[in-house]
Amino acid sequence: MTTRKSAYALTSRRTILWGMGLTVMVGPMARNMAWAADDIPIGILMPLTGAGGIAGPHMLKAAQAAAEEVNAAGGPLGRQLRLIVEDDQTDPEAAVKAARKLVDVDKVSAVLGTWASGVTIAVAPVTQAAKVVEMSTSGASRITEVQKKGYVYRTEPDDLLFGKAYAELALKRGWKTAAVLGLNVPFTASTVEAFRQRFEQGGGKVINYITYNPDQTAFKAETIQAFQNDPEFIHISGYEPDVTGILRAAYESNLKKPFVVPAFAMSSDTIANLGPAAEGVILVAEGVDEKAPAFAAIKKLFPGDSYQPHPAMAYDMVNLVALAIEAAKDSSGEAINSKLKSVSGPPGTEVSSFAEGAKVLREGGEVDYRGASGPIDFDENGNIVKSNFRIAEVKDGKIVPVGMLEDVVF
Amino acid sequence: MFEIKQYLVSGILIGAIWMLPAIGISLIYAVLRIPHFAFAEFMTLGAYLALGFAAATGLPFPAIALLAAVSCGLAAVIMDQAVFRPVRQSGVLPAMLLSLGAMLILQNIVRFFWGNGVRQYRLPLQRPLDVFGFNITPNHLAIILVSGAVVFALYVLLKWTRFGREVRATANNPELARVTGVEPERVYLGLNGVAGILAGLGGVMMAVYTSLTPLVGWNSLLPLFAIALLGGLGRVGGAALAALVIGLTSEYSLMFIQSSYKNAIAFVVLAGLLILRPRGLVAE
Repeated sequence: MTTRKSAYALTSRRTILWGMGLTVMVGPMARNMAWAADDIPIGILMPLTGAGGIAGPHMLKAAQAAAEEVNAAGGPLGRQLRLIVEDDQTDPEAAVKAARKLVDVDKVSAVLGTWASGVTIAVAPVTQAAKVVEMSTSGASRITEVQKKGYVYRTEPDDLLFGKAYAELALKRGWKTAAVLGLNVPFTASTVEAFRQRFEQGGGKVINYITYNPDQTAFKAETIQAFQNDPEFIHISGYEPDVTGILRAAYESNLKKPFVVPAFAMSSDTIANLGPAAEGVILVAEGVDEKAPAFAAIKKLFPGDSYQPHPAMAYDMVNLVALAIEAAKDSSGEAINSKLKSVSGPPGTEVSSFAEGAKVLREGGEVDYRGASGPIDFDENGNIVKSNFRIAEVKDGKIVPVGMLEDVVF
Repeated sequence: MFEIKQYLVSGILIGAIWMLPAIGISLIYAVLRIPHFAFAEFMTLGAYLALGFAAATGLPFPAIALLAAVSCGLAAVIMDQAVFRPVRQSGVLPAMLLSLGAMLILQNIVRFFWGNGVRQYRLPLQRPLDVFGFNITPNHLAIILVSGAVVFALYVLLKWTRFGREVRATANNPELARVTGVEPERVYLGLNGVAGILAGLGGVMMAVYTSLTPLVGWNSLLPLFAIALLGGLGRVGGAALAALVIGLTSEYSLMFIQSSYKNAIAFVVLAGLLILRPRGLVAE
């Protein structure tokens, strides 16, 4: 109790006056010091460990490569980007602590690279309050509501866009009837609704829609039901455990149809486990833009398997922030926020690196950045308006790319 | 037509799997008078022990399943002696709470050693056989046959052996049984072993049918208790019948309602039938 009392005693009127005086004097000094420092601190908040540990380290590698390129080209406003890396552990609580440190201690003007939707939603209030830009690779539709409050962007297609992609794939293949097996959680409800809308616009019809519970383990009856009335294909909107169960049940019941599933629901382990039951399954993954000049950097970083959507996005985030700083002639979060939409989308000269873009901007022009992950044009809510998707099929136990869906829009 | 036939197969299959642990729970309740939640988790333990034994020994799968089931029986006996024997005279509540605790501990032991991920036994996937127009894979057929054989053996054990008579006597009237020379602790010991074996075997079957997750037992908890109640506590035949009724009802319900309501079906059936037959399906 005594310590607490003395702490209160310290806050006397005189102390407050002293404090105010100090602030008045030191404030401008501190700001001048910040101006004087020639580098720009940028926060990197990625899942280096935890469930996102499969994505984070690769994303970091790509972000660092982008920063090196930007700095080699002289940097925005002739200053160097300095990346400050924190691990969000794929855990909202750890992420909020790390974001606070980036914002309060390191005084970053942007926090880039949150991956899990839960993490992005948890971190957003911290960055929004400090007027710091936040960019994520999270897909959940409800993030749009968070983004409407400003300063938060994502390079990942919204789950709704995934739904549209499934529909366009089906229409492209000439399929007119679909069955949908959907996990009973909010993410699938919105994706399936988006799928249905686009599919029906194109003349298709969802003839069976079956939902199942997250804790369910046996899928035989549901799978049989999905095959009723002979749909031309079956779309599963779920995660790995249930997708596995359904594919197995279909195989064990001798039921054969094309299955369209999100690529994130099937790891190579699952494919190996399922063996013949996984053959021919069609996987839809969020895109990269393999034809874009910016993609060369990703190819160089990951020569073995260069289809790396999230690292490509991390690479683009750093370039976009650098371009926004150059365009705004200011490195504050507010300045970046004011220019991100204009440097990401039309109108303007199409550019695919900071070096190219900075040249145009310094001559007074406008730029439209085309990234390694796609065209990346942000809409008023901070979502990308169109996205590429990759279609792959499981053949002999391997994921074989068979095509692309380009510029899928809302 | 195809789905009507197939639901019969999947309903019997899930019923055959549920009936084993449900009979264990039912017998334990009849004799020890506690709703013993931990037996649902012996399913999980059995399933994962089989995974471990398969990796360690390379024995054929039926032997591995047997080994896992017997280990669960042993574990159930040890748990009963260590945890439940000291509270035998303290009424229902302490034992029930302990069984809840034991359930959580068992589940988390599995999580600790095998992680939270989804696993599969290394059994090759099978195409179905055509049995009188019904599609069923050889493994699923084996599950139904084994389960039927076990239930029959159990019925014989309880009806015609000395142990069986002692179990029934203790269930009817523990005081009277003691007076006539039945040693209750011996009955408890044997019964825990039997219930552990049943749960472990059921767990292995469930994992063969679906996959291994630490929630194998937890997800079965509600249907198991519904079956035990519906069958009439302590009745082997009743529980077996109830398992089939609930299995078939929940599979056929898909023709009328969404699959996400499937879990509730067990309780609708339970409530409905208990109104009609308050003492269970096969009460005298």
